[in-house]
Amino acid sequence: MYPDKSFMLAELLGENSPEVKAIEWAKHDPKMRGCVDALLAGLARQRGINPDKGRLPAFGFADDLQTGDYRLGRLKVGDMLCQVVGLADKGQPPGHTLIVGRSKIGKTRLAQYIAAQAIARGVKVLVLAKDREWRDILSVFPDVLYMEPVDIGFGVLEVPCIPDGRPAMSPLEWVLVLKVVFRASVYTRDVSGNLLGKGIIGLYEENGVFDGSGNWPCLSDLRRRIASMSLGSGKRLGEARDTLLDRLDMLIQFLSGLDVVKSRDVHKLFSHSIVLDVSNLDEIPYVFLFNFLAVLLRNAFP
Amino acid sequence: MRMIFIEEANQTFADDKANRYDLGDGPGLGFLRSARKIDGDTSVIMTDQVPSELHRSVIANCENVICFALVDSKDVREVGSAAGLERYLQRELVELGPREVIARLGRYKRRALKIQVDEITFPQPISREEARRRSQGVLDGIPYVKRAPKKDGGARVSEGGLPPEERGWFAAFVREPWLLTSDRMKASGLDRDAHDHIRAKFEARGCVAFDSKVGAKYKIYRPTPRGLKLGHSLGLAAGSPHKGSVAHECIVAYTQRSLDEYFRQKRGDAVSFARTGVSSSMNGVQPDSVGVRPAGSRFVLQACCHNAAGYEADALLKLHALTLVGPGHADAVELVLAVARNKTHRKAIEKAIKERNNGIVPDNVVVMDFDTALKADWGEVFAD
Repeated sequence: MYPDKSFMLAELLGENSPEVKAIEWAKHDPKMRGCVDALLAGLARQRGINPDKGRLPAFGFADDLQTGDYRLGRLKVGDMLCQVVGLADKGQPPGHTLIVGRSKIGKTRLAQYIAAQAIARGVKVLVLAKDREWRDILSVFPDVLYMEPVDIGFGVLEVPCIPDGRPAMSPLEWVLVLKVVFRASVYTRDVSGNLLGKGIIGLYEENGVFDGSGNWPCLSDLRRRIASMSLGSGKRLGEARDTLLDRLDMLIQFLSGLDVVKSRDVHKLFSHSIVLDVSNLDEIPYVFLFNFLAVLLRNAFP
Repeated sequence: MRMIFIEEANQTFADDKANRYDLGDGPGLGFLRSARKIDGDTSVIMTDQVPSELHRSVIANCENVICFALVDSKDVREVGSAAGLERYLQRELVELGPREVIARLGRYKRRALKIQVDEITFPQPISREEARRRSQGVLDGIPYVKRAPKKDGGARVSEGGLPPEERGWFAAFVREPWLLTSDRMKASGLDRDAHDHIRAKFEARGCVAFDSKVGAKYKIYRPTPRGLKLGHSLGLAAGSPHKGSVAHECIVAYTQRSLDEYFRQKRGDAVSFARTGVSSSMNGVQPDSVGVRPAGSRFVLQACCHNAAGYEADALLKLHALTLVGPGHADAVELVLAVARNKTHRKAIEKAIKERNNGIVPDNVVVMDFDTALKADWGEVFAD
């Protein structure tokens, strides 16, 4: 917090400005001392600064943008446009950033602006695009890959591989990861354990995944197994299974169109900047996809 | 270096527990929390129009908050305070003009800035068909690794990734868990890749140190304050702090050491220990440690030590049980030794092992809690 208003004004206008000198002079003149507040308020209004509550914090001042920073726009003081400001880079992408605002006000455009600067400097960008405007970025960067979820081609029960073909995780860890991805749908207090975990472990055993003799199963296999699991009686138990089966149906539908379950090469795919069009996805599949990608990115790029 | 752009972030990171889908608070949020700390070079850019519905930790994890004009007073309050605006200035958020934003940027820590963002336009709108046409060539260049035939009337069936002969060391240890022991890996020429990979991964995090005392090829320290204390109390060195628990490693190492001492002093023969996996992400279906005596008998050791609770713990213990009594061990193991963290875990794993008994003679399974393992008279355990 600034010690007094005139200090604030000095920063705003510069120490050598005539207004600041006048105020400093007025503060030391007994006859003018009573006018200082009025002078400050007038100057503040003139400069478009809100003088409410007798303080002048208003908005801050920025250093000039440096090479490599992500440009956003120009600092605005009152009606004046001042220096260029942006997100700091220092050789790294900027920190997590949240852009908020009412609809159709330019959030996506600003995000595109940041994305364009990132792509231009070689950063790999993954956009989960709900707005068709994102496609326009291809007109500037033709190398950006436009994809729909079905193009990803990751079999959900597959274990992602690192570049030389070795799995990024063991099947057991993948089971645990999927359990997390599906989250609470697998936790039912009526079951000692969880449906999905039991189902996947059983399926992997059945298919010989653990001893390396068999194939990794697909979602349809998992659905069949969970549908045929004997759970005992209990209303909530049945409801939990129904919920899980619904979710599996949804995912199978979400991945329909794929006649394969082997993943594309994760590294080749994510070596491109990607606009992933998720505008047609409902909320649950979208969240699943996001969580799935989050797990994949964390584990496939150790 | 990677940037991820997420639109309508409130769908992905909802804060409304009543309406939040089960999937909402999943790994995505963890990814957001740790992307900078662990991965280091990933940043997430989110856009949203209902910030008051965002999960609290989203705004807390954002270094930069950029606000266009808002309408809802709840949103204004939420974002205003996140942007560091004093209350009387928060009304500015309602009155912002086109392309005007109020931003709290990490580099300018003192105050919020009012910025007029640059106007950008793209040369031409691109239709979906055009976008697909442009990208198809690249997508075709990244074919699916393997195509699998349809089976069961269209059910999609996995080929199981790379064929077994190409799966390298991973397939080897899945088929034959002993293969990851250092001697066998060396003999079979499988050690280099696996060890290089593991070492590189952990050395990068400062967690690897050779420790001849404990008989393990590599010692991985993942100290938490509690783990550090435990490590020091056992006379084990501890490396740089890293998220995780050192307790597990301590239990394995200490049990190995005390077993080794017992056999050297009482039986006059040495036990060759192999710490079969050093990283949980590479561990897979194998016990923590395998001991081989000159006579050829072997035993496996699993330290069932984790911080999970409730259903998670239950699932993990069952996995431990699966690891201990997996199909590869039944006819080759003299003793299965499980060291659990406490009595509760010990009982749980005893139960899990009984349920999964896969040909192992129950008498050959010893489960003990950590305190007991530290003071164990191994002569009783290995009574001939």
